[in-house]
Amino acid sequence: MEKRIGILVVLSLMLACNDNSSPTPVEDLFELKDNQAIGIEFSNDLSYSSDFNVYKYRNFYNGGGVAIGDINNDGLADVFLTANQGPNRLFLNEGNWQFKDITETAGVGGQRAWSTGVAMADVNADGLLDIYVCNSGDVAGDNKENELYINQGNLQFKEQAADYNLNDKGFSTHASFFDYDKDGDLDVYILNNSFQAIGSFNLRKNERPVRDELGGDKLMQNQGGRFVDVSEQAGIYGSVIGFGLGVTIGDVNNDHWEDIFVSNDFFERDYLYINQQDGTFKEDLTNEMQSISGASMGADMADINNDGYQDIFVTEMLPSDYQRLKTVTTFEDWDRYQLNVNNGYHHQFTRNVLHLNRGNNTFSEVSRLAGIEASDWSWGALFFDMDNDGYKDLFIANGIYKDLTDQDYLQYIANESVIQSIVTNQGVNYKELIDIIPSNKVANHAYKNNGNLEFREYTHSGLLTPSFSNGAAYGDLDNDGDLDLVVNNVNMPCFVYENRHAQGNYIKLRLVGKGANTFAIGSKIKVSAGQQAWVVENQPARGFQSSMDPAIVVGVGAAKQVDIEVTWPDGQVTTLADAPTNQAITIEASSAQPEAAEPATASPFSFRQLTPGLNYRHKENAYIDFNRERLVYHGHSNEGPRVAAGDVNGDGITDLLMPGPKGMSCMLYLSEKDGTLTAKEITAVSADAEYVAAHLFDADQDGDLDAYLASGGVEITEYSALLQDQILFNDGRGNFANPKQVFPNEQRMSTLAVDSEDIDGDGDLDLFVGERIKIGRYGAKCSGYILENDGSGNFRDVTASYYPGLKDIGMITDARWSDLNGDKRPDLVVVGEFMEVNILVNEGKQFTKVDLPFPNAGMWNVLQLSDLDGDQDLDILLGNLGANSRFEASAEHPMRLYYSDFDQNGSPECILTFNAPNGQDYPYVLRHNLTSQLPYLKKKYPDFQSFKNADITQIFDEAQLKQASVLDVNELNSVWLRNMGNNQFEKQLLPLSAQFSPVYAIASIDVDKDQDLDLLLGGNLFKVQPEVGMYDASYGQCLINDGQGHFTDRSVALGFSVTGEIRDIKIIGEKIYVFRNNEEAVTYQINYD
Amino acid sequence: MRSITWWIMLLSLLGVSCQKDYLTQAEIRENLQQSELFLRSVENLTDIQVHDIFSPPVASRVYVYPCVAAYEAIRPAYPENESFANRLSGLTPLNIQADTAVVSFDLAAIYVFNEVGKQFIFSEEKMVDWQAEVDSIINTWQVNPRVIQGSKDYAAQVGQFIMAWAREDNYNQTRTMPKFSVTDDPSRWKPTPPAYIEGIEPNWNKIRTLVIDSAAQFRPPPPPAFDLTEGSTFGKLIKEVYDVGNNLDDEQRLIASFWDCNPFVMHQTGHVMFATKKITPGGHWMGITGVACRKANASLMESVKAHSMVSIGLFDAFISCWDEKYRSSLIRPETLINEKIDPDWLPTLQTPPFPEHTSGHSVISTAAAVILTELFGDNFEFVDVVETKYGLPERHFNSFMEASREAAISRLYGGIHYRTAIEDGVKQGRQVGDYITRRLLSSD
Repeated sequence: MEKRIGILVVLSLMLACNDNSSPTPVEDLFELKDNQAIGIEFSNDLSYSSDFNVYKYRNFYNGGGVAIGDINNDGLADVFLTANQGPNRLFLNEGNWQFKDITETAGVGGQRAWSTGVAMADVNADGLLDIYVCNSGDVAGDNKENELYINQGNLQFKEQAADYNLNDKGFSTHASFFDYDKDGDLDVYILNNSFQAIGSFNLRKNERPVRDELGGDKLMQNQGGRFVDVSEQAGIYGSVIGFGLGVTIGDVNNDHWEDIFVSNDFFERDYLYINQQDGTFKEDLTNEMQSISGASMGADMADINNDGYQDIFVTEMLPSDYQRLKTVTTFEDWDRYQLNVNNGYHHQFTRNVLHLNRGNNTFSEVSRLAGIEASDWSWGALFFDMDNDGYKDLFIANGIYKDLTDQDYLQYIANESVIQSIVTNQGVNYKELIDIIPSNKVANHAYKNNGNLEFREYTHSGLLTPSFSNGAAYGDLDNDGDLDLVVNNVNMPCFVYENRHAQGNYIKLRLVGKGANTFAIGSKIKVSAGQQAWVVENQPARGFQSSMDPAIVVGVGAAKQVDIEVTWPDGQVTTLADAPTNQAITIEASSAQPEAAEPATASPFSFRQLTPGLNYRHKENAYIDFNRERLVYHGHSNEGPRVAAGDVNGDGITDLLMPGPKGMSCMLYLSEKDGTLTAKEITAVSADAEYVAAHLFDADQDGDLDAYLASGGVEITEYSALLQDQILFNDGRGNFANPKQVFPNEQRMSTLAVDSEDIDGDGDLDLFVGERIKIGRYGAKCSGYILENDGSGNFRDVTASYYPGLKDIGMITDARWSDLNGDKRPDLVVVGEFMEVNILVNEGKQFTKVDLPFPNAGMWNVLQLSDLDGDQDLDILLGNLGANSRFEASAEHPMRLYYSDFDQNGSPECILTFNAPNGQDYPYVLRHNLTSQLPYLKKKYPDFQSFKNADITQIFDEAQLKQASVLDVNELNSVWLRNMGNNQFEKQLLPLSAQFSPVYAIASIDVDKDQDLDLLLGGNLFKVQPEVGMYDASYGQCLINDGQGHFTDRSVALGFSVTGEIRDIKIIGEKIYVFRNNEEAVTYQINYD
Repeated sequence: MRSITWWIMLLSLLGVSCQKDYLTQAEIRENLQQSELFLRSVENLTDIQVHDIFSPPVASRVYVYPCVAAYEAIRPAYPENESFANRLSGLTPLNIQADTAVVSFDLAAIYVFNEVGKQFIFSEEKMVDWQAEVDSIINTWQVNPRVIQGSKDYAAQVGQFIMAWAREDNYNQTRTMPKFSVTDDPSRWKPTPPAYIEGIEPNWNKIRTLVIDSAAQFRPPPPPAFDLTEGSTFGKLIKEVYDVGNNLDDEQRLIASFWDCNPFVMHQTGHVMFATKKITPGGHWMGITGVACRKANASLMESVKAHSMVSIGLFDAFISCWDEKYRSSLIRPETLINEKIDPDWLPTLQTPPFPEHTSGHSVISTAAAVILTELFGDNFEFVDVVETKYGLPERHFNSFMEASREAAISRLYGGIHYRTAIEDGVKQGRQVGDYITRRLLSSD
């Protein structure tokens, strides 16, 4: 600590001296130590032969792990590294960055073959850390028993795995010690990778519940010092399809019982086991997580947003580098993805995932929003506060010694060599086959957590070293109160990083447990300072095959003193008030007090889901957009229902009209006085049309509400009469007669947006109707129509005279009439996909578009008009794609859609691009998907290498690009536009949680009865190509307004949580109806105490 | 040919030829015959196809246009062979004036075959390398440079003519037509392990046929009614695939792999994969055509004609077969056996990624064999060495029909077809082959 202060003083002096000079270059946070100088010389060297290689052993390049812990209780953390083919090594910390290799004398080099994961834990409860090493065996598949080195207290260890029944013979990857049954001793979860070859699996067969006696994951209960397999009775899967690469333990539901997350490689989904507090677990992943990572590797669990709940990060293999994405990556297609889903493997995607814990047994996957979804072939991920600023940063060890998925290797290079060797050797020479696989180092990733779920590449971390890295562990190796890092590498020396410049304050804790759990594994530490709080769980096994220093360092930013609360595994609590920061404190469990029950502060109002609610289920027909339009990423056959509310039978109560998707009738739900609703089928229009929106208005001035039904989607041919929108006239009692021709001419187009208003002051209601999409030609421009009512429900197209700009304006999704500027004339707002926000001011005989002084070309799904800031004019709420997608767009770097019939075969293509820092547009689409649509490009790009740098101007020639229509998007956030009066608007972002997923439904309601409008939002989109990944991170949002238009998400606290694709929210009286695509509607009521 | 070359070299060495003595048309013909430049060009096209990876139906298209181009280019020198114009859909007479003083139709056939072939493959540099090799070989022959140039010019014109015709075959349009959609229908084809590749070429029946009047002209009977009950006709067919697959003898196993002809077989071990690539079924029969030409010592004209007719037969046979495949869209035996009989059962061959009925190899092999029999006669013995470079053995056959029957039944041994798809496929292939020989060999 003294040393630390010294550094700070020197730094501040330096800063002071440099005040008037040029800024000093920023020094890297971590410094890579010279292995030889510090005495940690270790390299996990791998050599392959024709007999033993990655083809014969699929985990050949998974690498080794790292364990950090003080094995001799001298206050200095020691380092243990595992090797696959050589001996493991133990390095004794002698202080001052001097380590001594004591492997031989300690007797921990290992007798077994292919060591993988390592855990340090006091297995025999003598206060000394023991070392448990997982082994995966030799070429013959033998010699793979795990080893347990019991610490003898004299820098010597004795291998006693068999005595403890921990000599597991599976393909062990890792193990994690914890006390799942709270009997005071440490049990262990052993993570085993399946023996079975991957090519031989049949996805249809559900092998998950069948235990594999040899391999298979195991939960071992400590029964008086001997470990007994209790997996089956505890409800732990251990099948041949378990490809576990990570076991991550922590309390995800804050019940103080430790839960288990298992990340599985390949096709098997991950597992989330919730501790039932009775010795059993409930595997609950599919109920709590919507999207998960495909080939899951390592994982870590930590509270990354300081909300007190443990979040989970899982690594995968998606490259962050564009060139690598274009040469080593393939994505599953829709059919394959559906096959996985239908066979019980859940929604898996090729990317890292960040499961943000919502605190109500659900998670939102926000990796794309956080910007950490792609980090190449990634293994060990660790959340730790690198700079002690109070936010846990992220380190990802990545790299693979051979680029096994290099597409050129796979398609064009390997087989020619295979053929030759088959011909010459009567068999495949695997060594030669592997020799020619490219080998490329990839820089490890470090992300600085800026709070607000914003992770940015930590440029000055000093950790971005190109390497082939696998396991990693952190620990305070020099006792200066910040965390240092050790990384195990394949075929290169391990990295030992000294943390040199962590600026924030810290508190360091050593926990002394009670009874057999001497290191108090499973304790929860809460450190707080004012409004800030940091929660850490004491669980050393993390990341990939690795084990962290049991001494806990909590970065607390600027806090000078903190309150510390340790909840011990037995539930008792030790508190320490006003502890000065920047010190190490040892806390003993014997000091603990029984937990004081915290009085729960209940909200005076909450949402209650009504069951039964509205008995309405929307059902989509089976249609796969991507079979027809392969370059389109989002489906458009699933857009409804947009429900209309109004009193159709004149009884003074609001009724509901639901548009019927293809295969389902339109339905009328008539409200009774007692609040119940009675369903009535509308037979006047065909159930074969895809009605996506309903609108109620008095078309013929007879005093009742008539129905406008918008026929949309893309599953009906563009020539079908079913595409014609319909107006059904009301007989005044809620009976809708057969439609009659009311439009100037047939409009066979796919529509979605419709709204009515008297735009010309003649007393009748005129219409705006927006064309949504050209069927089969996504990207083609669509038109909006202003239709003037003759007073009796006949309409005339007057678009050209009012606003000719509506022709070919874009893919319209929503529109509203309303007076925005107080001149009593209804103005028009029109939005759409790849469209600007068109605010059209009614000048009487024509409309003028408002020029908005900020980027506003979006993927707008929905708009709503409400007065959000209480200034008596209407503000504009706009639902967009959100920030949690693979797509990026800004004014400087817009996303673009190039639309043209590039190969002139009569069927246009749309190519979506992003704008790189070099200003060029690069396609999102991968080579094989692009060339399947434009085969001639295969000649230009005969292999993947040739395509990896091709921007749009190289792919297409000038003439082709000149013919293409180019649509820009420069704003992806959902926003609201504050109406400043005078046709001036100001853009405001909706809160971060509203950016988790596309927004498709917006309703305003004063939830907290404070006389301002709060918001209910809904969204998600599931019909999305797997390479982009479904949008499912929204559970609906209840955003509470402070009266000024500042919103706080209180959904979970208030109990508003809905899964699925929400398409509309309608409020009638006290009831809130949430309409979902292809699912039951959900009914809520707000209860006020 | 060797003697001629020696003679020329000797002359040049002695300086006897103060005025160059260029090869006559007949000598060029003889050199081409001896050097097998045409057969080697076909083999080169096959090699590039294997590298670039073409599915079987698309591969048949890569063969047919270069072959027809070669035929139309060389034919004027052999007037007894009638043009395919007006016999192949959309092909009009080649209206190109060739100055016979500077055009060798024989040379032009080689040039145009490679040039048109280059348009259809992707790795153009491989074709450019081969064309350079062809040039260097021809350059050793003392051909009048004006003849070389004249023949190349003529070949270029023929090539453009053929390409203009080829572009009208709907291939580009079919690229953007809908994919095959997977549904819950238990009888409907779905992608199969291990790679679960989507259904290949679901719109291939929209491709312009060349001789048959439409894709559906020789529509085979539909597969037996889908009925999974034990003892039903269909149930027995499934069981047969399972039983045969489980009781293969060495010879049957050899036959299955000999006729595998899968252009892209994926092998997966964990994240690491590798593919083995072979020639397509059509490529195998183009190879057999080459074997037959060599054995019969066929002239260049005869070789070009044989390859053209076989490639046309393959092309139409694939369209005819694919028309039925995506009409019946029948599920593969592997899927049903895994679902109903044995979840661990694996076919001997990897199931190809398209519906089951009828067997493509049965249809196209029979069609090709019918045409070859017509050209080279029945009981034409040959040793099939086509896939020795892919590690397969040589195999002796007494006739083309014998080979085609074996190719057909190999799909049962391979565990990828029911017997009906093979039997109906053989009939379908015979109808296509008979029709094509009748239409192309009859004189008007």
